[in-house]
Amino acid sequence: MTLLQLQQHLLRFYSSISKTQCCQEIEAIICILNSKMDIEQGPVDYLPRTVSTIEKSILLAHKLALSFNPKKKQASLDISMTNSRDLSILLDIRENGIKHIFNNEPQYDLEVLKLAFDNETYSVNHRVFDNNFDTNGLDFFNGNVVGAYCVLKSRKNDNMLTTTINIDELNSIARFYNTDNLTPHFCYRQLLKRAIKTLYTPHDSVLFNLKEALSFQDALKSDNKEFKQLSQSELATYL
Amino acid sequence: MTFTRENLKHLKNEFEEVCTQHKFNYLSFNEESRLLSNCINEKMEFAASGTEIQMNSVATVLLTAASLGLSFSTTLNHLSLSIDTFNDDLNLPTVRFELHITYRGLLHLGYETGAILNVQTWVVYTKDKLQLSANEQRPLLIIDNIFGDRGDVAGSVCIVAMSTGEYITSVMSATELDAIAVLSGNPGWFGCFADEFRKKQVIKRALRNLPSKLHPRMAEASKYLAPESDQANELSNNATEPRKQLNPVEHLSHLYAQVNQEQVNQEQAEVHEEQIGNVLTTTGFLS
Repeated sequence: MTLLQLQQHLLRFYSSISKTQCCQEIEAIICILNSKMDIEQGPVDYLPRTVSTIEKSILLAHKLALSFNPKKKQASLDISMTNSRDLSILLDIRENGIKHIFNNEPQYDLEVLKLAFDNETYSVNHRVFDNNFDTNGLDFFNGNVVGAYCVLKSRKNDNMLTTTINIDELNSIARFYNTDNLTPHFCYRQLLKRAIKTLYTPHDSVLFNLKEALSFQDALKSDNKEFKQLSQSELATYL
Repeated sequence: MTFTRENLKHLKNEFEEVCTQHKFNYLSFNEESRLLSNCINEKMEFAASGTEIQMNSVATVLLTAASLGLSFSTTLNHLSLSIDTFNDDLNLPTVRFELHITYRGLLHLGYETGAILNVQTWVVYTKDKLQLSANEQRPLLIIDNIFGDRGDVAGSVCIVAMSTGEYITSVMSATELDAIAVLSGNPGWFGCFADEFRKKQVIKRALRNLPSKLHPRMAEASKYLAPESDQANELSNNATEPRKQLNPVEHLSHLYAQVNQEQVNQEQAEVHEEQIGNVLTTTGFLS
C-alpha cells in the first residue's frame, strides 16, 4: 500500500469511528509518517500488519480523545521495526496528552509528573496519602536524572497517591525494550504504567484505555512474535 | 477434544445467565471465550504433543470468572490459569485448568464493590522512619531523600483507604519478604525491580486479610487467589503444610459443602447453590 492509498484507507477508517476533524487528523498522521519515514526508513510499502498497527494507534488515540495535531503536542507516532523487518507504527502519548487525559479522568487528577535530578532532594515527611513530596532544590534541569515521580489526587477523598521509579529501573526497562535513549516520554510512560497498576480501571474507562495505550507501544517492541488472532474454527476447538 | 455445538450453545446460555443475574453487562461470551482461548493456547505451548484438554475444566473456569465478574483481558491481568496434568481413564495425558484471581483482580473487586477507595504501598528502608499510630489511622512516613541512600530494606507497608473513612495498614518485615523471595524462585526478586515485588507482596497480604469482612463478592473471589498469595499467607502463619491442589470438581464440591455448612445468609447461600448447580449442570456432573 502506498502512502496515498494509506491516506485514503485511514480516512475511511477514521470516519467510521469519528466524524469530527477527520481530515485534519489524517493529514496530521500522514505528515508525521512522512517525516518519520524520510528520516528513518525512506519510502516504504505499507504492509497489512503495519496498517493494522496504525489503525490500532488511531483507535487508542480516539478513545483517549487525543489529537495528532502537532500544535497540540498531545499524540504522535513512533516507529518500531520487528525481526521480520515489518514496520509497526505506535501511538506515542506526549506530556500534554497525559495532562489532557487526566483532565477527562473522573476519578483522579494528575498533580505532579516530573523527572527527579541528583542536585535536588526529595523528602517525605507526611502522613501517607498526603502530598508526599517536598522538593528542596533548583527548579531547572541541570543535574543528572535519578528517577521520576508522579502524584495523583483522588477526586473522591483528596488522597494523594505517590509513585516513584528510579534510574536503575528505567535503564533496565529501556534495555528490555531495546530503547536507545531514555526520553522523558519513555520515563513518564513507565512511571504512569506503574501508577495506574493499582488504580480502579473499569472496562472502557479513561484509565483502562490509557493502560491499554501505554502497554501497546511497549508490548509490540518487546514481543515481535505475530499476534495470534484465533479464527472461529480455532475458537470452537476449545469452546 | 472439543465442545459439541449443543454444549457450546448451552455454555453460552449459562454464561449469559450468570452475567445477567449479576448485572455484569460488560462481559461478553464471544470476547471472554476468545481471551480464554488465547490463555489456553499460551499454556498449551508447554504441554506435550497429543495432550488432551479436559473440557469440563475449561467450562468451569469460564463460568467461574463470569460469576466473579472478572475478565480474562491481559491488559487488566485480573485472572490467571494454572495447568494440572494427569492421565485420564484411557491413560492418555490430559490437562485441566484451574482459575486463579490475581491481586489486581481482587483489588479491582475491592474498588468495584466500593469497599476500597485507594491503596498506597511503600518499601521502608532502615534510614526511613515509619510511625504506626492507633489502628485505622494513616501512618507517618519520613524519608530524607527518596532517590538517595536509604540504607537496607526494613520491610514494606500497605495502607488501604476504606470507603468508611478508615485506613487499614499491613506491614511485612524484610525477613518475611526475603523468605518469600527464596521460596518463589523468581530471579526478579533479586534484581533492580525487587521493590516492586516487595510492594506486590504486601498488597497481597493486605487484600487477603480484607475480603471476608468487606463484601461477599470479594470473599468469594479470595478463594481463587493465585498460589503465590497462598505461599505468602502460609509463611506469615508459619504454616508448614504444602498447599493442597484441588481439581475443579473437588473445588466445586468443596464450595458447595462450604456454602451449605456456613449458612451465614440464607439468601446468599441460595444464590451460591444456584450458581454452583448451574456450573455442575453445565459440566455434566449434575443432571
